[in-house]
Amino acid sequence: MKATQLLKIIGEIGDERIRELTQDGEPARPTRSRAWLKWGALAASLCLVGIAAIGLVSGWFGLFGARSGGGGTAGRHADGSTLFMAYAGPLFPLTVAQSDVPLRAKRQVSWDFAPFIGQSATQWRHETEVLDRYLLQNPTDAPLTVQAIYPYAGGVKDERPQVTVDGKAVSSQLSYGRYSGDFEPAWGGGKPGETLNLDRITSWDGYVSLLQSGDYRAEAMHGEKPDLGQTVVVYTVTDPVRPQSDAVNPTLAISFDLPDPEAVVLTYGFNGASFDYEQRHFRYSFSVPEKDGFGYSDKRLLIVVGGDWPGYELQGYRDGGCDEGEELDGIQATISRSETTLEAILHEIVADTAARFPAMYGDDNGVDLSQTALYTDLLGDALLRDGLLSGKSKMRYDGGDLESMISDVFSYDRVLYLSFPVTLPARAETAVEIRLTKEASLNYVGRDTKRYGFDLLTRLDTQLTFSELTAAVIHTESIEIVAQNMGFDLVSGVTQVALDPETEHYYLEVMRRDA
Amino acid sequence: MDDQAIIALFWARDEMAIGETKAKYGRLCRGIARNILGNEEDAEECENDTYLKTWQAIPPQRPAVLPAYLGRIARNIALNRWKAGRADKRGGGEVPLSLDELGDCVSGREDPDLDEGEVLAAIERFLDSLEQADRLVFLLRYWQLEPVAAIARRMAWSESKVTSRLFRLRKRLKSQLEKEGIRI
Repeated sequence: MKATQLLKIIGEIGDERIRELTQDGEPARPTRSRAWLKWGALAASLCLVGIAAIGLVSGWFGLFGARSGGGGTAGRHADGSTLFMAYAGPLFPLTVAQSDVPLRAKRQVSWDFAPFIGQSATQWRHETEVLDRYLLQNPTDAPLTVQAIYPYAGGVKDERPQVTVDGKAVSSQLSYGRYSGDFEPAWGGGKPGETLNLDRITSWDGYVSLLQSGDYRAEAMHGEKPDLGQTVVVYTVTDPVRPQSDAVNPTLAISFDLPDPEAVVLTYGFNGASFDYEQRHFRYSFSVPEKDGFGYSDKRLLIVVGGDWPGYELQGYRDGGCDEGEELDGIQATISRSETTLEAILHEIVADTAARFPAMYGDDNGVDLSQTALYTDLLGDALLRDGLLSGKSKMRYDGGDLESMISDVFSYDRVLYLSFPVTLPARAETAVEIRLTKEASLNYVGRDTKRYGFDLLTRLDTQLTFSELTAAVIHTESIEIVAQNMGFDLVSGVTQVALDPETEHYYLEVMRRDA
Repeated sequence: MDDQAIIALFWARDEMAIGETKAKYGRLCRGIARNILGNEEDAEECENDTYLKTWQAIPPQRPAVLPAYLGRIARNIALNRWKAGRADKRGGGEVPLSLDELGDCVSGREDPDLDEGEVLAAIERFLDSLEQADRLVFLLRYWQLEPVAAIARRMAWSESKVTSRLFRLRKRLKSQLEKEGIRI
């Protein structure tokens, strides 16, 4: 068989299996203005391919994740640098917590392009190993101890930069900023003001707007933990039973009224939802797996916050549409009621989600199972800031399914802050080195798809004044520089340059030499 | 608009069907064509050809999964255009790389007696045996012809993780095809 024959045959794969690919061509979430909306088609499709749908969360991770891109268009900044579709964020300068420290500072940044080296597209990586080095001089006659703070753009799952002081590794504390972007309408079909998709920062000046006041950093490092102490009612669905039938996707729906106008419902492990906020009527459904089959034991929770329902109805349907006339008798489940705190139930859900990651994404999935308390705080913060508990939920989260929000919490971009103490001997210079892997900004469709960008910011939100700033590139044999304002000349062997510390933004754009 | 409503517009020969399809699935169709052809102008032409072909096919057809149906048409049109050599000089696209990778699974010898239905059934069984994330990555690469970098961003994985996962999946596919007695 030839590869062309195989490629052609793959094109004939059945529609139901392809549906997984095409879901993000549709709006990701219902809008409140349409009172009854069905997620049934999604549920049916996932069932048909043998997956327990949203409850398995895997389908949602990445599909609408922060790094999926999709909103931007290629263009240029006024300074000639490329406006990338997938923007990886700049390198920020080191700062210190104290504002009146008499420090003198020099900065040396180097990008190591060794990851670009490889024989084929399946071997190379479009990221650099960055060494961001600082020489801090204490000009006084007494030792000084400062709290150094190093900001970087990334996500919860990203690898943490390594810090050394005078060549010795130091432990650092990590603080997490909130989601750094905004929300926008559905691509290609939304209305202004809608908040369905993530609208990430796509340019270095977006980070300037975000960080220059210092408020973002102050909130990240000193903000209060979210208050998740309130009591909530949790309905746990277990032991679902589906009858023998020819139904495509036996589905169980739970319907109820929620009289309290402030009450909201969060879900975990459900596939479908419809709600009428005016009449305060809600319905949530899930595909019922075969007994002991895939997904049978998945956790299925309805969490009522700020109220409780007076009663509920169970009804089986032949598929996830839950349409009148499609009822199916014989579907049952056990529903038990309990009360706990919001924090406790979110922690349980986060732990359940995190425990699934190795099976879904391998052991190097980036989620640290020992950090579930932290992840719970981040989820709680997101719920109170942008979700149903904010009182003004973004459309992206108004369905209440926690899988979507957890997916975003794990993956969307933030600014994170590493802080660590540095003791500076009197009249001496101390070297602080931060090593990190820095992804390139890139365009993955349209023009300039072979161009990879790296940004450097020199003054944003720092208490330090740099007397010298130098930059270097190493292992450049696989790249050529196609745009920059730094002054490298690889042809002439100029791989180290002195930069002006007063220039706010430097950029470097490269292509693979064989591209 | 609901997919069934869009299909009903096609059946009613209402030209709004084209506009609604474009609004909802234009990005999908053009994205697939762009992956294959690597060129925006060709991709736009393919997208428009997809609408025309869909208009001609519905009725009598009534697709069960409209985006998959549209995506398949866009894929076929774009691959035909690529094969005809009308795009490769200007763009590039992902086809040569994907073919190179799929070469891991096959002998590379033309088989005129190949039972495509049998191979397709084996591939579908292979897909059903995968975790959802693996299935998605495989289909993104070899059905949708997505670049590795785009898959990495969509999955929130590193590119090296995507490439190594694809490598393992190709090995598994080859093994499954051999196990089922298919002449590869």
